[in-house]
This record gives sequence, C-alpha cells and structure tokens, in this order.
Amino acid sequence: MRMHRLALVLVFTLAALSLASAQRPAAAPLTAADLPAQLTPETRQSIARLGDSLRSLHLPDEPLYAKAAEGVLKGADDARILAVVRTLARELGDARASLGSGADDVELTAGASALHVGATPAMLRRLQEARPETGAGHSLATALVALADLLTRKVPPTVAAAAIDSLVTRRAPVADFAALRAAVERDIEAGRTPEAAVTTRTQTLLRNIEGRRPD
Amino acid sequence: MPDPVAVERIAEVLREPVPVRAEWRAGLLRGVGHLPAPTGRGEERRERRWQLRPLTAIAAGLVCAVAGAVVATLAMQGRRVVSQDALTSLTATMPLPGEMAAAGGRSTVRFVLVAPYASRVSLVGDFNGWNPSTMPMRRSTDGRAWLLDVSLAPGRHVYSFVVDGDLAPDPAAPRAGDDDFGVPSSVVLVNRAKT
Repeated sequence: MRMHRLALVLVFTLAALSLASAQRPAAAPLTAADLPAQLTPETRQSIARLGDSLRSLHLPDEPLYAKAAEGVLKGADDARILAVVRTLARELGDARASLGSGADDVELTAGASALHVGATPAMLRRLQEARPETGAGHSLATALVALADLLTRKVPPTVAAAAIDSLVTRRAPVADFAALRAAVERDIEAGRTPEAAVTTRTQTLLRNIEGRRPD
Repeated sequence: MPDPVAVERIAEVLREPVPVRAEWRAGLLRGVGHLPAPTGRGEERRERRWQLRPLTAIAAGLVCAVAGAVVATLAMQGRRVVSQDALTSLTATMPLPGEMAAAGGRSTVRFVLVAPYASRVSLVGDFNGWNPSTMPMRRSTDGRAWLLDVSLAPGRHVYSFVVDGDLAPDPAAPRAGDDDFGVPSSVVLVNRAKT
C-alpha cells in the first residue's frame, strides 16, 4: 500500500515536471529545409545555395533562412526576398572581414545588421581593436546591437560609433549599453536631437564608470 | 417601485407548502427510515491506518516537499536571468529582455507586451521561422499584458509581435535595424555565459 502511494506521488511529480517544460517552448535552429513553402522552388534553391556558400566560408547561414521567412510573413515577393537575402549574405562576409576570424556567429550577425543601417567596416574594425582581450563580457555583440539601434534612431554614424567605442574601450558592462539605448530613446521622444541625446548620455555613463572604478 | 401589497400577496402564495400525496410522503419516510445510520466507521478506519503507519505519511510529505522544490527551482531558473541582468534600465511598463546572459547553453527569455485590448497575440521571430501559429502568448492574470517564456540559444534574435493579425515591434526593445520589408522588428540579444 505504501509503495502504491509513493508511486502515485512520483507519477504526479513527473507529470508536473513535464508540464513545466512543455509550457516553455524551445526554439530550434533554422535550416534550408525550413524555408517557407510559399517561396517558389527556384527561390528556395537560390537561398539554399547561398547558405551553402556561407557555410563553406565558416559564416552562419541560419540568418538567411530566417530573413526569407520574415519576408514571407511580411508579404514581400520572391524577388525582393532574394535581393534582401543576397545583401545579408554579403554583409555577413563584410562583417567577418571587419571583425576578424575570431568573431563568433552572434557578433557577425550583429555586425552585419550594423553595416546594413550605416556603420562602416572601419567602425567595426575600430570596435574590434578596442575590445578587451580577456575578462567578462568581452563579446562585441551587445555593443554592435546598441550601435545598430542608435543608427536606426537617426544618430549620425560617427557620433554613434564614437559613443559605442568609448564604452567598449572603458569595458562598460552590458547594462550600460542597454541604459544608453533606453535613455537616448527617451531623450529623442522628449524632443532632443539624436546627436545631443547620445553625446550627453554617453558622457554621463562614462562619468559613472569612472566613479565605479576602485581607487 | 413594486407595489408592497402585491409583493406580499405573491410571497404568501410562495410560502404555502407544495401539495404532496399522503401515500407518496409515507413511502418516502419509510425509505429514509430503512437507510443504515451513519457510523463513521470508514473514516475511523482511514484515520487508524495513518496512525498505524506514520512513516508512510512522513515519507509522502517529504516526497511532495522535494517534488515541489524541484518544480519551483525549474520554474524560476529562466526568470532569474531576467531579474539579475541588465534590465533595470529598461522601461518600467515592461520587464522586457534587452540583453541578458545565458547561464550556459540556452536561456529562457520572457517576452512581454502590454496590450490590454488585444484579443490574440503571438510571437514571431527567427527562432520560430516567423510562424505566427507556433508561439501564442498568454494573457497575464490582470488582463493587461501578454506573456511568453521561450528557451533561446545564445545569439542575436530578431522578433516581432502579431497583435490581432498585425505585426508590431516591441516598443521597449532595440530596433533590429534591418527593416528590409517595410515593417520594423525588434532584437533580443542572449549572450553566452560570461567567462
């Protein structure tokens, strides 16, 4: 009888655990096989071939399939989708050339996005050189995402790149990049120019970083 | 205003006992009289069983406590990432994931959209092939926000919400920048575990 009860409790526990895991969907990586059926076979084939090319260069191909699926959901036609995917493939290669062979897939996709919205290869190279070689949070991905975000908010590219560069050079934590982005967004909504917002907020963050440094 | 006299008259009628045939009433009472009186023997037996086997009760309690702790730990695992990292600077209306660190491998990201008047919200992004049917969001208990926890691999993820059929970027997350199709998207960055 006692064993029976314990078995029941175990069954309920397992059921609860499986329920908890089922409530949190997991995202699987996309492949060429996941390209939407709405695309013509020719378009799918072209994108798959581009993906093969990127893989052979040790570049991530998943962003291409995701971009194509995004285009389908947003109602773009095949020609537009293919043009966008080709541009993305080129920008991933440019990002690799700027960030170096040590850059990981996350940095490459973030770098490609920054290039797409107005950053130059020289800006990416400068960030790569400013990146601390060791220590916590040395990935450039956060900095590149913040740079792309500032550029989409019409911050002049040189101003945005200088701001991000100064934070990277001083090993600003991830939180500071998020803080900069949020503060700039608020300032622009309040009527400040994007340039003034970035300049002021960056100076404040740099002062805070200096204040946090141990003497 | 209802007429009190009329109300009282209706109440009087309702108060009158329902006419029941005498033989039916007698039969019912006879049937009730033949039912066995409650002895409480079953409950006594159950109580005695627990008294005789206290170890069973203790073991069952312990197992339940351990199971509860395991379930709670698993449920809190992903949220800890959200609360400990760089989210304090984001807008107060939405505890949205901006940049967060994965505690090794995948990380659970909580997506939140405040849309009290929406009737259906789902999440689309590169992590689900931009398929609006795979990740429906659930309404919060107060009915104002829509929530979904998604297990994501470290990386830069572009996403959007589908609110009653229309695409909407996350108002509190960084813009993806590469809005090639005329509709803006948002980006969430799940960092690799810090070394």
